[in-house]
Amino acid sequence: MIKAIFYKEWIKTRWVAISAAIISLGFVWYSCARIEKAILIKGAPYIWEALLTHDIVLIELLCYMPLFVGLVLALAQYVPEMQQKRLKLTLHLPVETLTIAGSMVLYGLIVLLFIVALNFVVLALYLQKFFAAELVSRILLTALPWYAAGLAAYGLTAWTCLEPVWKRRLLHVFVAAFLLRLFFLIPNPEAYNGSLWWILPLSVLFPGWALLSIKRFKEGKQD
Amino acid sequence: MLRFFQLLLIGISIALLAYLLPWLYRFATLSPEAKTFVVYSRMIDDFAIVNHNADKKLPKYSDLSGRSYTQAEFDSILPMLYYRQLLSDGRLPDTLFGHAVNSKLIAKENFVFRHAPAHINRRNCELYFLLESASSRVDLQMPDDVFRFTKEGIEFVDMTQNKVKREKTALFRKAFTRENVRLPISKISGNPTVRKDYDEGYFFSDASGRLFHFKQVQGQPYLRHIPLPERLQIAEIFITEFLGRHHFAFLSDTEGGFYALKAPDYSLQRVELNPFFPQSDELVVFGNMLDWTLRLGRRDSIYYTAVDAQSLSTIRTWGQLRKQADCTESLYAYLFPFELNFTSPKDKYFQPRINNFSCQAIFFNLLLLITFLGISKRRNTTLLMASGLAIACLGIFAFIPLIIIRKG
Repeated sequence: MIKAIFYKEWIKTRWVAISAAIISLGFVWYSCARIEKAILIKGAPYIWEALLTHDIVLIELLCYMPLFVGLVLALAQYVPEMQQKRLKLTLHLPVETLTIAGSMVLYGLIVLLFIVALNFVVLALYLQKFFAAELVSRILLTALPWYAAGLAAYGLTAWTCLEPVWKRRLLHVFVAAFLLRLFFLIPNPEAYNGSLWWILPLSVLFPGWALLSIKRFKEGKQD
Repeated sequence: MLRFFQLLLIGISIALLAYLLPWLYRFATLSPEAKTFVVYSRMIDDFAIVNHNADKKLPKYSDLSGRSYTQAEFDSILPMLYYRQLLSDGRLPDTLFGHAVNSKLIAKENFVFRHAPAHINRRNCELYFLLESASSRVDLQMPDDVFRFTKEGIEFVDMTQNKVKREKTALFRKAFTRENVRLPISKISGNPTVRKDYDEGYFFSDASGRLFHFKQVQGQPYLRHIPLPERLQIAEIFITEFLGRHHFAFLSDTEGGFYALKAPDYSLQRVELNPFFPQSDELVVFGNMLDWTLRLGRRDSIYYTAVDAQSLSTIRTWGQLRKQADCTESLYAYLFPFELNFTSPKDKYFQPRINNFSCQAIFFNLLLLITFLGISKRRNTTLLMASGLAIACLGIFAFIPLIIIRKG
């Protein structure tokens, strides 16, 4: 049954997921191409100097991209469920509610983690051509909280979309907005290094809140 | 599993409110503060003070003994600071305390050194530029390579090729082996920019705490061990490269000592100053050929110390408390039992930290607890007790999420 739910979610979101992967890779490619062009025009020493003496990582363009990918994927996955009242049907399947809801959320997480991994591999391969290992790790570690924000955005959007009561939904938006703001509080490179050990697991746990919304839905809470 | 996510949601909501509510309160009660600029005047042998009031009226000029000055009088008592104004007015003296002075000399000898904890409490990339300190050119130039320290020793990387420069690496490694430098280095300070008049490379301390001066002179390594007094453990190094060239660097030790490393003889001179800990204290030094004013900023207070420029011994000191607690601060202490911050002006790290614990908040917490018990319809005593305990300890931060959950 879990396979079938995964398949159902894939059918529903495949174009959005594929587009998100292609667009995010496009952003990654463009960021790297800009660095390559800058090196061509200004020279490598100038770009290294900028990286080492200013608080920049040259891929700032990617800052909010993962957040939007997470948000769009969650909207594509859960808005039709609520609008077309498909969730009610899904929850009537002869499987435990938690298994169904968990499978839906897990599917989204796997797709997002795949996109994140793809982005990171391309970034690392591209950057190591031009920069020393210290600079590559600095850039990637700086980008890691942005991608964690993408995972969190997915979970928090799912939590909000699946909430059956509008007033409560607004409260969720408020909480989600302030939580996501935390991922972008300090723009300095590697500022989040010391907190990655709890930020990353937490970002993966946020989608679990969607189960609370589904429980409320199942209990018959509505406007 | 649902219980776990429910608890996670409550925990995160409490943390978010502990961050947001105090921030919102401070934002709402934010008001302009009076600013003071204090510097020692040898002419009056006292601290001269400029008060910029919060109401943005004209600044007030005075000294520590309470005497007021006009702006022109104030320029006269601080000739080293306002020499350009005095020169323009034709009032710059030609001798000061037995020293012949002119605007060029004053400009050369004046310096400002600023240190804020956030300058060092941050993650730096461990790649360094080594400029040529004695090139034949007038202007300094940035190099085409960077160096790093590896287990094997120093290593130069060509930035264009992104490859190790083997010959240069071997040449510099020899110097490091000769001086018996023990890696990894513990502290390093340099100022790799072309926007300065000369270059002194880097000062660093190695794994055994020994201090070295390292620079590049006509393509060759210059590495010199600087003997330190026994038991002095370096906490931080600050390269200076001031125009006057009287000092190589300032140093601080683990016991709060502050030192000037003099040029050209590398002698170490202790500055008579209250204990200075660079990780948490701010330090500003306004120096001139006669005296230095050191402004040591701590969490709650600011200490001003005037020292003689030659002996670095204390002339005068003065301490001042930072902002006094006002009624908004008092109310704050009654409302919030603590506050959660993720950032700090003292560093560039994102990490949760709990500050401003307040025992006074217990009264408000108890009021909230009574309200909660009064409106709670729970029959489950364990849950009720847990909720009550959370409100008694965490106050309004726990009260709001628990009320929302109670309403379902």
